[in-house]
Parts: sequence; C-alpha cells; structure tokens
Amino acid sequence: MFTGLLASVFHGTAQADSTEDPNEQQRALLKRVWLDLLVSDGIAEAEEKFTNRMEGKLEPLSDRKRKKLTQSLLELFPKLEADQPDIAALAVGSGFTFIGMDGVESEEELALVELYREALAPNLTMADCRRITTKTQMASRRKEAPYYLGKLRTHAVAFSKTDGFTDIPQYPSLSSDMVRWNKTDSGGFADIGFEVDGSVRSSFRLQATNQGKGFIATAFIDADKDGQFAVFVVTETSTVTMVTPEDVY
Amino acid sequence: MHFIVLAGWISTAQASPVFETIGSNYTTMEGAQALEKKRQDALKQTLDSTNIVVRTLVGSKLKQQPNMCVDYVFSYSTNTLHVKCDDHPSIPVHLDGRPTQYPKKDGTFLEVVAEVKGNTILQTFPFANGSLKVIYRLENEHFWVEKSIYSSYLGMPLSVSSSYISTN
Repeated sequence: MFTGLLASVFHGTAQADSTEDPNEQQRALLKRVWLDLLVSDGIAEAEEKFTNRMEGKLEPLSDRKRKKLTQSLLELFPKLEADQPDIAALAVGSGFTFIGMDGVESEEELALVELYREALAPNLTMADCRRITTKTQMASRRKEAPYYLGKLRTHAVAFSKTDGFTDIPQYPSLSSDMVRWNKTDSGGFADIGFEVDGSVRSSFRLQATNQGKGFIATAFIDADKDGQFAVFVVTETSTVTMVTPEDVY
Repeated sequence: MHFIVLAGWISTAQASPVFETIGSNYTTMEGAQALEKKRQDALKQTLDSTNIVVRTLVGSKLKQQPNMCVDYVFSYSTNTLHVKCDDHPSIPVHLDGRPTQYPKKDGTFLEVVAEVKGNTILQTFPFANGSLKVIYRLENEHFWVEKSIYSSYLGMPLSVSSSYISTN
C-alpha cells in the first residue's frame, strides 16, 4: 500500500520537475520527498546528515508543498495500521536515514525500495537496510510494553488508595502475536480502569506485596517472535525497568 | 486527518452516591507548569512512537491535546455532577444514564453517556479516527483525572493524568 502511494506521489510530482534527465529527476524528487518526511525531526539536522551521506546539496520543500504532499499521503493512506508497518519504507535510526524493508515482499515493492536505496543511501546494501530496519522496528515494537506498564502503574496507584493493592492475574495470555484487548476478560485490570484500545503484543500481571501496601507489575513481550520474551517490571515506588538483556526483543 | 466527532456513545450508567458529597474546588497537586510539561512529555512520547509519515500532521492536530485542567469546580444536584474546568463553561454530567450534551464547534451537540462505577466516572468521546476517554476518580479529598486519546494513527495513545486536591 505504502509503496503504491509513494509511487503515485513520485510520478505525479515528477512531471512538474524541470530536470531533463528522468533518472536524475526521480532521484532528486526522492531526496526531497524523504527529506520532507523527516521534517519533524528537525529539517536542518536531517538535511545535514542527508547531505553528508549523499554528498549533495538538498533543498527542503516549502511549507505549502510539504502540506500538500502530506495531505496526498494521507488521502492515499486512509488508515495506517501500527501492526502492519508496510509503510516503513523509511525509518530513522541513530544518525542517518535508511530504507526500511519490513513488509516489503513483492518484486514490485523490492524494486521500488531498491530505487530508494540507490537514491538515498547508496552506501548501504539491501541486506544492510533489512538488518537495520528489523532491529529498529523490533525496538520500536518493544516500546509498547514499558509504555503500558507505566500507565498500569499510574492506574494501580490511583485506584488503590483506599483498599490497597490486590493481585491481578496475567492478561492477555503470553503470546508472540497481537492479541485484541477484551475489557470484560481483563479481570482486575478493568477494575482499575486500565485497558488498551485495540490490540497488544504485551501481557501484564500485577502482584501485591507487603500485605497489599505495595505491588510489582510485570510486562512480557516477544516483539521479534523468537519465543524469547523481553520482561519489564515496575513497583509502586519505582520506574519501569527492563530486566532482560537489551538485545531481547 | 480529521478528528471529527461522530454520533453519541451509548452505555449503561447508575447514579452513584459517592459524588453527592464532593467538595467544590479542586486544583492540580503538581502545579500548572509541571502539568503542562507532563502533557508535553506525553505528547512527545506519543509522537515519537507514531509513524514519521504522519507525525508532523498528528503533532499539529494534538498540539494542545489533551486539554488538562488546572482547576476544577464541582457541584452536585440530583444525579448530576456539574463540572467546570478552568474558564470553560460548567457541564452537567448526568450520572444516571442520561446523556450529557457537549457543544461542538459546528453548533451541534455530542451526546455522551457517563459510565459510573463506584467512585469512578468514565466518559468516551468517539471521533472519526479514534476516541478520547476521560476517567474521573474521587478519593476522599483527592480527585484523579486521566485523559487518553486513542487513534490508529498513533503509535501509542496520548495519555495524561493528574491528581487534584480540594481547596475548600
């Protein structure tokens, strides 16, 4: 879906470009499109990094063109599913831009990614792109667990001032797949107003400690589906901490 | 992206005696500046988790969201909790299953039924691309509020909470 969108934007805008060489015209446009998409991370910084990498001078899009492009993207992408990151033709890692590969399956999509790679990051191989993207996306997916665990802590503290803390059995069951959160099945989590809108990869539990005066809440997630779960914990007095090694996703 | 309000939300609700004794004035325990920083931090976290393609647009849409009140003024009358947030008009929140009408910018009203459970009120405001959920919880002299924005456009929901203390 995403690649189709970009292709549309790409071809549509390319016609208005005055560069004579079609290939150069396409590459220049790609640079501008990607740079524009990076604007929220700071155009100057992105441009500098990009320029260093591409050894070329880039011209950011005007506000008007950026808004128009963004609107085009949104019109062509009525809904972006967090669980289907085939939109990840671009990802921003630590220090430079690279081309994402997650969800790219067909020959047509691969060819388009190859075009991006050639224009945007010629120093990276396709294998580099796939490796970096996978790692980054797994880390991104894993962030769900500490995020919701922090929210769980907030709710546990807010809802337990009178009665103290009580055990909440694990929910949802451990799974490497996305599981839809069902409020009625979530037991004690619903009682403390904690819920997830949609689906999660994480599983949560809360265990009361010190005769109900404290608790330890735990989140489990297997973002890369290798059967090994990353584990996060939090207590009523501590912040969220990851207890498994950093390379467990 | 349009966060357009859709039709009302239907739920069951029961009147709760807990709110009959609610104090009048409450103010955030963390202070206005700290609360605003908390909101901005939460927004940044949400935007960081959101796909870069829509991040800029989402950021502009959520720039002032969720609106976290520094002060609340409450009053209660026959199954209705009147809620006044900062300088906004007082809104009567019906706790007995009747819908509460919220004015929209186009002059129409959104009807939302409050879900009441003990000392907790949950309101869900549906939008075209997601929803806003507001939880109020009364706990003795304290009042806890959480406002969360959910959308498939967001990598993580935007959620901010604060505790308020009675100033009566």
